[in-house]
Amino acid sequence: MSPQIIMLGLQRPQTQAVTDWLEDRYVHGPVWDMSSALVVVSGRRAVRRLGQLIADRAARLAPTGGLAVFPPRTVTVGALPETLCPGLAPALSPMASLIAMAACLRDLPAETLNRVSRTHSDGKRDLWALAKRLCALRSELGADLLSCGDVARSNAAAAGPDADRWAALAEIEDAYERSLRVAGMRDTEMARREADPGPTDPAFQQLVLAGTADLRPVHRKLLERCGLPVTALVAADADDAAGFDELGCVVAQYWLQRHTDITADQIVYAEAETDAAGAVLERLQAWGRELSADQVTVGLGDEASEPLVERMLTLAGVPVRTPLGGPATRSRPGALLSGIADWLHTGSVEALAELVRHPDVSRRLRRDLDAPGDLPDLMDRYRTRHLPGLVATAVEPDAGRFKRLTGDLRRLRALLHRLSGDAAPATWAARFQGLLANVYKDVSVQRDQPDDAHLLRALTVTGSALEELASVPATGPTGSRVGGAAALQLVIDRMAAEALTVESAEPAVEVVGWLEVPADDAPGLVLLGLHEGRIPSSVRRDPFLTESLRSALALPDSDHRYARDAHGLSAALAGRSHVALVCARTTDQGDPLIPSRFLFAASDEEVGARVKRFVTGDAFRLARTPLASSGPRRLQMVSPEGAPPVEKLDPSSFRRYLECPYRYYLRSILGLADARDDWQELSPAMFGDLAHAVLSDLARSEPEMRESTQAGAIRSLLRERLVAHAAGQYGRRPMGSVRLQISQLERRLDAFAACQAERNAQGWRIVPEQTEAGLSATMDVDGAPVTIAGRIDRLDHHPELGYAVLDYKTGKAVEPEKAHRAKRGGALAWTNLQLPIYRFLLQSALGTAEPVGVGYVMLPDDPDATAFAMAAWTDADYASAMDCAADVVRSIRQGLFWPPSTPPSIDDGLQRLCWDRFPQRPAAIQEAVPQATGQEKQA
Amino acid sequence: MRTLIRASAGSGKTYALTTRYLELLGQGAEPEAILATTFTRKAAGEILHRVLAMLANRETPADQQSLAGFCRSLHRVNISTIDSFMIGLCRSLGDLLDLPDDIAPAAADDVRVQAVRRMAMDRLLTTPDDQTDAVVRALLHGPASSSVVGAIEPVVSELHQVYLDSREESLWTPAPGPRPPAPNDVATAVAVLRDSAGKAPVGRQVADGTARLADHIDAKDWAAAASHKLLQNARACGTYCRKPIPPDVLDACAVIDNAVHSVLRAEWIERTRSTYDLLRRYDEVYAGLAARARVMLFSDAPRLLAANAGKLRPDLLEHRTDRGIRHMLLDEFQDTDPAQWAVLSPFIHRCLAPEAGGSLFCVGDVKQAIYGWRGGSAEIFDTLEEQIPGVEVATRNSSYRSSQVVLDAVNAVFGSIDTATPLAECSGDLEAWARKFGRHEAVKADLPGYVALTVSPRDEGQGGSRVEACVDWVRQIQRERPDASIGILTRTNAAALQMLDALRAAGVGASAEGASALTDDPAVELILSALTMADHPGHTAAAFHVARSPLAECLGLPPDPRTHPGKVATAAARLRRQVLDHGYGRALRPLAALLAPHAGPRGCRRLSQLLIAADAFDRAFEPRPGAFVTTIDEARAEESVAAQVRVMTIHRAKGLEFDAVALPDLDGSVRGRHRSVLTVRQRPTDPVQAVIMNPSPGLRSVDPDLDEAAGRAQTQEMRENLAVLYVAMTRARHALHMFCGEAALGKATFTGIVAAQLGAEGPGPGLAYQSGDPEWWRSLSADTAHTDAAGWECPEHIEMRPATSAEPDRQAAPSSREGQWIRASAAFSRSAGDAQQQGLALHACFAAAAQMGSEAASPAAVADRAARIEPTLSRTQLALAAAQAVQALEQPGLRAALSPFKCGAGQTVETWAERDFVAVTPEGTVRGRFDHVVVLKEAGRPVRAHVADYKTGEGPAGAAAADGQAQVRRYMVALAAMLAIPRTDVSGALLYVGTGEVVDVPSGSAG
Repeated sequence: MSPQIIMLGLQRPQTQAVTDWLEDRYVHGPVWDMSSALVVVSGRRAVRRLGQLIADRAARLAPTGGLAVFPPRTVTVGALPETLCPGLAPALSPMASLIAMAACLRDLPAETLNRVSRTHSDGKRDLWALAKRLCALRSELGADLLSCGDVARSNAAAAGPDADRWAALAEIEDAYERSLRVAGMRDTEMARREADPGPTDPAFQQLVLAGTADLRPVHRKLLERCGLPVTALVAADADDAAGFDELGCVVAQYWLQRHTDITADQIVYAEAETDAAGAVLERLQAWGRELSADQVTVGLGDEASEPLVERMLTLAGVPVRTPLGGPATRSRPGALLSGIADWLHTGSVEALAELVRHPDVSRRLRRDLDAPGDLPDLMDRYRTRHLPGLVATAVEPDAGRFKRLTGDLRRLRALLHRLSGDAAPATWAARFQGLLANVYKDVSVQRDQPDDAHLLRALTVTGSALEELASVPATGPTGSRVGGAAALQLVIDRMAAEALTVESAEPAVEVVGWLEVPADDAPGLVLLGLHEGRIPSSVRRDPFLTESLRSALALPDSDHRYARDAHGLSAALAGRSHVALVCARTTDQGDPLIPSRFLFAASDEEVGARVKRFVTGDAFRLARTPLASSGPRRLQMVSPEGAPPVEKLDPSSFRRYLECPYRYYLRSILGLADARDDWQELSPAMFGDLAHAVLSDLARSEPEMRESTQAGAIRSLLRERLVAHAAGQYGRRPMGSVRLQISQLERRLDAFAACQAERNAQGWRIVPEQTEAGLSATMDVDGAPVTIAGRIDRLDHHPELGYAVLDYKTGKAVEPEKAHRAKRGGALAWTNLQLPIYRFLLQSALGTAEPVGVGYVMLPDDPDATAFAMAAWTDADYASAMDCAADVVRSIRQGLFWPPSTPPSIDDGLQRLCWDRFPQRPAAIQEAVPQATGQEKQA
Repeated sequence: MRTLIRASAGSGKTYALTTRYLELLGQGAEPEAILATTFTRKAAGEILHRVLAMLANRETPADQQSLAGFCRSLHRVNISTIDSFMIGLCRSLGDLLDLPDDIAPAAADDVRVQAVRRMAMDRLLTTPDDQTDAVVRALLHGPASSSVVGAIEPVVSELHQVYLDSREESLWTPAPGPRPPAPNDVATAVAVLRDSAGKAPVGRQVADGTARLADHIDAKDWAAAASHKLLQNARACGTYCRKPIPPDVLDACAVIDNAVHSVLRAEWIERTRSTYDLLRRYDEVYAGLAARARVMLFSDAPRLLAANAGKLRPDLLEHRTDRGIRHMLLDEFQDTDPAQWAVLSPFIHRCLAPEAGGSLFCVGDVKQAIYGWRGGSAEIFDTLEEQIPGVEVATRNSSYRSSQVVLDAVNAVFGSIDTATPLAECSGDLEAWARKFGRHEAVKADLPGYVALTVSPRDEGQGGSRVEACVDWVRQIQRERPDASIGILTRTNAAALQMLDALRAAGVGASAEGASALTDDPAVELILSALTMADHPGHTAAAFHVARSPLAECLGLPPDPRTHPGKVATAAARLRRQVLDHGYGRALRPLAALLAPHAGPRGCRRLSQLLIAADAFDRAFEPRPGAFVTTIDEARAEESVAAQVRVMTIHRAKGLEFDAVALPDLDGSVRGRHRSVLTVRQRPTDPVQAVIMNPSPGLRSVDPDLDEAAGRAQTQEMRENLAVLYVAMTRARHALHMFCGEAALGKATFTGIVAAQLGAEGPGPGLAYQSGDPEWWRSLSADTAHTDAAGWECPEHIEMRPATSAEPDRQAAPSSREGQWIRASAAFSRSAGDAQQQGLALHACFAAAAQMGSEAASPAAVADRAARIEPTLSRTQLALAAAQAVQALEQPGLRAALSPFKCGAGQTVETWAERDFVAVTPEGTVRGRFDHVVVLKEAGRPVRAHVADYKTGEGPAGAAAADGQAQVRRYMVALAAMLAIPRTDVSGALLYVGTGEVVDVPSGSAG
């Protein structure tokens, strides 16, 4: 029976016209029974929308009930074969096919594979990638009932320069299919191409093609064989009948010549992409009196612009729904599985740190432990202390402070256990399911809560992917064992192909992809992105199926896409009361965009005018984005508050205050700290601490060692202590960079050993009991005492020269004078009081009358510059330093922490809080008047 | 036709290329047969737009037809960037190049590329690996730096691209130096030097020299020894301090020279090799990560293609690309790099083959070759004449852009650049530059123009007075001619930022391009603090920052987060969860909206840009907020609106023009920066022959070959810098004002050269040179006016009509359970999946049995029929379910529930199994699927109905029983509405197929 074609006309939107037809055809008295019809539509959204329209129509036909409505079975074109002919299912799942293909490739000789793909520079080949590529190729050819062998035998390929590659592809395909046949298996392509589809489902008596202008041979074959009466409903006027074949599919040549139905007033040229999204807002505002949000659809030529449109609409207060959805991998379960894959792949502490931050993992661990959720913080501290690289070689966090972390990590590892080694896919599925069950076992969600619905959908997709893995047959070509990471990757890839669409019932502007637009029936349509390659879409460049080969094999080519989209556009415009077609001239980066051919598919006379308008006419521009503020900036830096009591200070407090009173307030008064874990190597402070630890050991060593004049002996001790300290702190096998830093430090210590031996020879002796000893003294400032407490790195004594207070410096070789004083307004001013304060502490502690000098032991990057550098300050200098210290104490007592000084050159963790990068910072500081500051008090 | 056009700035390159394109179209060439490439997307788009505009401006019907034809072929038009052309080739040849299908090209500053680089450096340095250790150790032979990353990172970031162009180890293996003299010979030579120092006849200066040289050798300070004048003079002229060097000292110097040379060269070889080893190891890590991230650089494309040139036969290329290119139009050819040339060259030769009937049209200007730093090689342009036999060369020096006053300054500076005093020592190198320079003439002779050079005093500090003078000039123009466009062009981003700050401080509205950090606003910093806290709950500074901001309440932070670490941890976890659930773009949107009212206009612009960056970042999906923070910390963002005064680097200004141009940052040396490595090629178009580390001055002084190689590189760099100066000066239409510091005069600095060539080295600070009309703007025509139509002001809230009440989306399914809690694990657990499958199988089998009626004797028959209903279920599942269904149906209670009515006279019974329905009820439209319905009819009209719902889970005592009853009640309401019978005439039942129990749902309660 030949198919019947019904031209629906363009007066009504396509899906509404289909509903009209179904009503005319199937309403009989109080019954609207369409259950014998199988309706085929273009996409999932059309399935949903047709169902909604039927329900809507039912309500209109019988507003008080009394109509028995049995809707038709509605499927997408993709699902047609297996729905119509159940005998086609079940074939191997795509995942199982991929595993079988990979197994087949593993068994093939390298010469065959070399004809299809090259190896990496290391001679290896990514068989999984190749298998994926071949499966995709089979799938694409399969839709046209073709195999690689068919292509290889075709004139187009056999005579071309790729003939040998196609021959090799055919060989591979043969081997693959043979391996399946031997095991009694078949994949979807084999089933569709070779197998008898079997009887048609008897439930169907009528097949209705509703707007399916793009049927492939696999569908045509089934339609031919099924014997059902076929009606093709075509959204076009009768005048365009020549544009369709007997199944209502587009005839490319017709549509290539046909002018589009676009009128000039529907076209909006926008300056750039953001302006184009702004044009959507402008249209919504213009249409807002007549249309509600749910009566407008925004169609996107480029789905990548979805976030932009959604953002603009949301910020402008327009309710918006974006059923496009991102890939399922961008979800909590997706992140969890990716994190585990990374952990399996690298075994790094970094991967572990990512896992402990996963909200579901940390919640799970927290629940187990009933402890505060500070695992990320503990992990940061552990990493900052020990800089572990790989978990296998890391220092065990078993010291007291990390005891709880140890417990947490043990639990985490318990979660991840049994994920190593090779196993059958089904075994992996069970293990992954077990892991997820453990993580999510106590999570309850509400389906109607958007966040919960998102999680639920993500978990459902994850479950489907795991089910697919579980269903991979354990025998035959799919029976090979795979590694955990590879199995996980199969699941992740499967999830990546699935969009996380979450439906919502709230009335909103709906944002849909271009292919869904023709089946949409909202009265208002803004179509965004009329650019070449989008609307009309183009065939992506493909190393296998080139444009000419596609044309020769009658596969969908660019002309076919054009025709499909030209008809789609015509259908999309049908029956709408409000239409805007937006085309941006450039990207937001200013790169010009190529306009859609559809904009110029008009009469020769009209084309010139349209082109001129595109090239030189006015374009829509957004002067003010939705996220805009006309008022002045009201954000201010956090004001220092109050005047804290000053009871105790350490020597470096003075430097910190003198550098920047505001930063001192934040760091020392408020006690704010930063945290990080992205250590690539030891920070300068860690490097210095390691040096300190080693040098302290020397100071505390036996007299014969610390007083030795033999550089070699001192060097040996230092080296030995360095190894011991480094191992204790960073493990026996630290990160590569740390190992190198340790060897750099060793070079510095070697140079120091020579200096120390020489100093010993000069008669200086280390005073071990004062090395790293805590000292404190009271300073009287304006009659009120303040305790200064500190720890000096080292004290030396010389029988004739007295004492020398020494501070180790592993940074730049800067003399004490330069490190403590700078020119301010022509005079020398103290910028640091550390050494004078040390001297004060020591003098107070020892009460000695002997001279006390101060200085640095400099261990700079140039070993030749290693030296003992003593300050040459006079008593007057020391007195002025102590005056300065008293001033600092007074200032702190008075709460003088404003204004902030010039920011430091490196990020000290406070730069955001201190607005360091704000160009108008000086003005902002002037504007801000801190409350209750010392200035006010003084005034 | 083979044409090569040397087109000076403003001489209409794009116009010439467009005209040629139209000529070809006019001659009947198909658009796909013409390849037109240029270097920026903007330029490619301009060419296309011009072609369209020129076609559209023609009026004849034939032209209209031609335009229509061209528009129909827009998808086949090959006007693109050279990068895009190469990427297209890579996609078509992916299998031959070992490229994944879904590889995404990216620019070097793309966030994904940056992330891969960071990760690669991280992996390289943090993973314990003895080989890497050894390599890095070798590179760290100098100072004992405390930072390994600080020592290695610059090497890798500067040289990775060089490595990619020359991966062969042999290229990085220089020939060894001279054989070192025996230690004894060196000792003897040192003794001679010391000995001669003590001898009176050599003089005090010579004696000092020989002693110092001997000290250097004893201290093994080879570099100092190599640079010692005595050693250099001994080699060059035999005199020192104008006295002849004694023969024995000369001999000793020869030995020492040899020793120094061999030691320094050996060290240099070692450094070259170590650098290579480091780059190789880095690249191994980088390549793996980039492949995993599916990212490739645009610059990788020509490199890959060139490396596989042997496999890319012309017929294969044509077949794979579907491009029968016959005509090639190459714009900005001077910026072509050797790899790009290696790919383009076969296409050109194929076009020019006699049988092809094709053509070549090549436009460029070596004076504007400013992309040498990224591989561009202007010399390739120069070699075209040799490589393309019969090529016609045309020169265009007439400028459609600049006034003659500006062009005269350009002529003065560049026409005799080889004689510029500050460049006297390299005049030979610049002779060709000057020879090829043609005098520039203004096409529009009456354009007003002005050129000036202002010199600032020597003690100006950080260029402050230069900047001030520049700002004053800009303000003057703005005052006098507010519609004039002004470009302030700098050599570095830092200088651009400095200018921008100064302009803004002076109240001049200026925009910067490519120079501003996205984080330069407190509102953005606040959001980054929130994300920092999310990643590091122990970062109390970040938590405090947020807690004292408008974001505190939304994030649930107390005013003093230091005392509530638990609350911070909870807020951090919540934000991390939101990021995972919605992505950064959506998760940050409410935070940005909260800050907007406090942020001011600038802050709001920055917040908008942050959200755009967040959306872009979401494509990479990095779950850790810290990764996002790092990316944004490094991100740069344009000012969203280009102002009348635009500040940018000279490189960015290429292709642009302004009424007035200010150049305040030209005091740097034209000799350029010190490159770490030098690449050696025989000819510009040849592959790299060697890669060597740039030799130190010491090594250069003892190794003439290396000295020459380094000298060549330096000259090259200088030429490129002169091109930068040329580009900068030729951006001006009317006015050009250069600002320099006094200290730069007389030296080989940009301004030193300009001043010398303009004769402006005058007496001290002030206006050192001017020509033309200082009030040039007065005679400016009105059409230069920079008019910007005001854009649309989006209101804060867009109002739309309220939605109508009958929303189709509000249709409910009877089984929907709004507000109910369900276990998340039910969505994926194996048992849940199994239960769902079992449920489906049982439903299918019951439906099959109902359809079959009395035939349903055997489970096998039921399973067969059920397979048609649920084709996706396995036969095993269906067989099990069929057995269960058949067994259940044998139970009397269940049977009775499925057949509740006995037909009386005139009555019939109709059964529906597994039937979808739509029902309009007073409560709304209901859609769903009945499991089993029996309708009793009298005279064909329904009088009673019964609905049964199968339950496959737990029995009637289970927790879900109440839900089941409510659901059946909804079915009953729907059924009553569909059949238009009273609700009381509809009964319902729950059939627990596992236990065989039946629970009746009373009619009266329906609804």
